[in-house]
Amino acid sequence: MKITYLQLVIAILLATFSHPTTSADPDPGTLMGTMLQPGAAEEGIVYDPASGNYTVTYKVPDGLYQVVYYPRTKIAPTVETTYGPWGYGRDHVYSYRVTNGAKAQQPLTNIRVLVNKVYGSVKPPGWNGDIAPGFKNPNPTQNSDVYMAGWYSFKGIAPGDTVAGFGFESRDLPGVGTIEILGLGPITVYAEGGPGGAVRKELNKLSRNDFVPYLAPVPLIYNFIGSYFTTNGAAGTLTSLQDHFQQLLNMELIEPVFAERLTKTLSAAIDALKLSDRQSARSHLEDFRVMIDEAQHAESKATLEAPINKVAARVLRYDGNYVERKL
Amino acid sequence: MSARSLVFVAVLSAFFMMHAVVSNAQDCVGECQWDPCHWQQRLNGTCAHPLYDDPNTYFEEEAKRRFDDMRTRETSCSARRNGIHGKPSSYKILYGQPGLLCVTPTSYPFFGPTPAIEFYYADGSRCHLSYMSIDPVCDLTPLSTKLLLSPLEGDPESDQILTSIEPSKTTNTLLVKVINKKTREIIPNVDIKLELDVTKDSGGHIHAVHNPIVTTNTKGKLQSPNSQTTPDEAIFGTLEGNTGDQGLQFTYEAPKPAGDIVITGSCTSQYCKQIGPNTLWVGIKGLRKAQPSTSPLYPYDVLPCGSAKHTECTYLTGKANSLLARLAGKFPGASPGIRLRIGDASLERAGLFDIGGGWTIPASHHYAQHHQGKAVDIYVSPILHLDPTDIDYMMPFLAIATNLGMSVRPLRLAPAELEDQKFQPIYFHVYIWRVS
Repeated sequence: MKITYLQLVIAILLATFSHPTTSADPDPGTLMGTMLQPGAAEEGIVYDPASGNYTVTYKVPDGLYQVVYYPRTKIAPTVETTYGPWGYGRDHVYSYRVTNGAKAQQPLTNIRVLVNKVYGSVKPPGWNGDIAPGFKNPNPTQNSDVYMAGWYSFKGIAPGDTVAGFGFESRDLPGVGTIEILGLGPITVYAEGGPGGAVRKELNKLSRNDFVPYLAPVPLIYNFIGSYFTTNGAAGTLTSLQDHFQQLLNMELIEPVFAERLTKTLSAAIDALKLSDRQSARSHLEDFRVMIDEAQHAESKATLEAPINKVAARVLRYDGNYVERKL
Repeated sequence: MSARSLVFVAVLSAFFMMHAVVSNAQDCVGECQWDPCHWQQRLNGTCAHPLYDDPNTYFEEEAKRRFDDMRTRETSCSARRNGIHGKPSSYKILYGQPGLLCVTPTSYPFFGPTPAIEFYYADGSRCHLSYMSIDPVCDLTPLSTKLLLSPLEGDPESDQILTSIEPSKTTNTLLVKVINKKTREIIPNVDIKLELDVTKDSGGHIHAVHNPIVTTNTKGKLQSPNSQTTPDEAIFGTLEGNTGDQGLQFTYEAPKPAGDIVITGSCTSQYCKQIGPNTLWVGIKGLRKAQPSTSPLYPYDVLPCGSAKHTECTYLTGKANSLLARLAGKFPGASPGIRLRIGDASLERAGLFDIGGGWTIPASHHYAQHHQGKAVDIYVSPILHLDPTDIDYMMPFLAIATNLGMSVRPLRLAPAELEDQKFQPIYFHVYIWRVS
């Protein structure tokens, strides 16, 4: 194909005067929305599958506005977790290595998770960390408040990058928690009051769930085994593990029938510990471990579906084993 | 005994009886004598009196005179005789069927509506003095009859507070019963009426209690399965019913605004006096006022209330408050030189935050979310007028708030409200949604 001189000049002019725009750098006008003519659009929130954004149309006394809501889920996170009793006083150390996949469209800027009491939060360079008390316990069987531990960075993890060094210490054992991971795109600004009524409710729901959930081992099982081992302390720890099953059932990480079998075995171990019968408790905990191993083995046969999620199996096996070794 | 002797004894007895009556009347002048003329004077025509010319006017004047007279005494004679303490607080003339007006059959006949006076006492007693009577007949109510409100289970919160309840929620079952205070026994089957009223200037609202234009229910609603009150009446805060054997059970649905709601109880089928706690405390407990931080590291200000119709506007739950302090404390480190200012949060007991003082707020207004002590407006300073297109200052705030479980919504004033179109003030409406 032959390019004429005129076509070349037009191409150069276009390249010179056009301003590159990306989804992360929209026209500031769109951040604040645009005012529409009355009746130009219906109030509501509409998802655009092409852009992955939401168009929010809402009324305020001043008029009808339309604005784009950029969800904070345009990331592709994976989290690798390492944990063990390597901390001060044999407390558990939890470390997380976070990757933002190459397909991500936003930097990964926020990581947060609800946990039992933790301390000694560590953070990678350039990141900030926080451990805030006073949050609702996600476990319906527990009344005590929990902490929100998290890290944030204004730069974040760019698509394709991995950052390690997130972590904390805790006396408590791992359970399955949901790490909430967020990216950050353009920030939407609303006219006075913002959306009301049904649109506001929908927007609240949208913003509350505007994160990518990632299942990971986090300290959720109260550990009552201290420096001086007591059978009562061990029984307390196993009771706390037993309470965690309701959470696993709510998250649909374990089949109810299998959960019942495991909790019965735990109950037998707890009863034995209450009678200071360590031998019997050890035997029940061994059964507990074998049952989990067999369930995992069932999945490998490819003929049966495992009755328990892998992360759940990993933490339950670890917790049972931890108590068993202390006996 | 001869017949003559019998007549003598009868006349003597009548004389002594009359003497006793007259003595008694003299002791309680003005109370026991309706007829101004002695019967003997009437018989011989020596006593003329307005009673015989214009009885209605006379009765009214006489009733007032007797009432005033009884009020001036420490305790009226008839009341004292009947075991009533105190003075009558009001009176009323009652006219019955026409009949013979004169006291004695020997007076000349005079017919007209038979009058009577009823004296009413503060303890609920009433005395009925008919024209034909010398002594009033008193309908005595024991002073120990009381109407008492209580929770069905457990004790009231205090001597004043019956129970506390969060806005828009319904209390546990409450009980109204009529008791004999001395014996503590329940007096069954009493018709009662409960009425609600809002205590002025309570709950942080310092504007008019009632707004006839707005239909928002500010009193709440009393409900009982055994009530005779129709639903429409219930909306306006009244409840009628019968206490049955064990008292009348009811519940209270709190209104959206917080405040003190007083229940006034009365008996409609007999006298009773309300005792005990009568106030419903509507609001959210445990809220704390946001305090400015003077820490050199983490200073932040608390702005005055944005509404003149309310006392304080920066109340938050304890946990929300500590998270707010944490957020504010983190922010200067993230953005040196920029300081946070805490704007309106919730009223002192939370509940409806009617910023304009009209007991209503449009659903679209973000103040509709300032009702639980979990939402707060935060201004990012040093200058309120920030360029909204520069998101650099917003990013740290958003990142920190996100990690504290907060939902952040940047807001700007509508362009029509702005004097300077160039700068559009941005502030953050922050809702701390994970706090219990």
